[in-house]
Amino acid sequence: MSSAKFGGKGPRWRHELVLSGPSLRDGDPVAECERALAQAGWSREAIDPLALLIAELWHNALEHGVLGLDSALKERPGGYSEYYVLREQLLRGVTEGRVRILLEQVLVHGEPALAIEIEDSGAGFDAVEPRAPLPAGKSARKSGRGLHLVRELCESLEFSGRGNVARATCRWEGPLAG
Amino acid sequence: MRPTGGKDLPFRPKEWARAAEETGRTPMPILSNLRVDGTLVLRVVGRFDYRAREQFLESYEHCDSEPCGFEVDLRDAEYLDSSALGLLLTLRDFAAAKGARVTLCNARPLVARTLAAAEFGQWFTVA
Repeated sequence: MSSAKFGGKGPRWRHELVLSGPSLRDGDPVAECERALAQAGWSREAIDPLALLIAELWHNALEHGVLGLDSALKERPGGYSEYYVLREQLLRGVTEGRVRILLEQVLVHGEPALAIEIEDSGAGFDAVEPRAPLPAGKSARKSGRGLHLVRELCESLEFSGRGNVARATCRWEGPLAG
Repeated sequence: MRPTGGKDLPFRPKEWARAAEETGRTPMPILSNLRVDGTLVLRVVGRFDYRAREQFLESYEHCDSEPCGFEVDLRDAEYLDSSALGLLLTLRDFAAAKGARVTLCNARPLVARTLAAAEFGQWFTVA
């Protein structure tokens, strides 16, 4: 884990944490990232949308990458609750798997921005189209909303590796400022 | 927490928020209250996600009387993630089966943006 004050002349601010084994179950990386952002000078208002993005990408990495859960389960009657009960069960027994979270200050077109990179030890998935629409259908879908929300709230979202590395870039104050 | 007819229950979001902060973001309380007009009002405080699932389901599934409508008051919600969007859709399914509508109201900017991104206007009354 390394960090440096944002805006200084030294190395750009970055904060990294790695969760594996029991820390996947017991850790709260979102709260830890928030603490790091607050210490580095982000305001509470700026942290809320960033925390939301971190939470979405972390849950995605944990649930699909590490635990191998399939969101399609949420669409079955009563499936939404079933999904989270199964998540609990799988998480209790988790011994393998790893998630790495990296927050780093970057410049986008000369403007300060925050990159959130989350890598999981899972099999990944085929890169999705850059701005996939919400899943269509007559009934309101309960799955497939996380990454859509991330795309709406950040500047860019890219996948690399075998689809197991997600990197979202957000402007300093985030798109909410504009 | 069981909804009771027409009586306001003590609502102390600041105390709950402080308690959650101290204990490391425990699930935030969902307060339900059956208004005299028969609308069941659910108020969520803080960060709304899957950790509030059991409390959220309990708050409307075990209501003593039949509500004629549902309202989710989001004034104290800091953010909603995609798992909370799923919870809201579960409530919508429950309400639709009874021919009732769900209103989402008083959302702060980030929450309003989240609802708009999810195109929730087509499934809920967003006020």
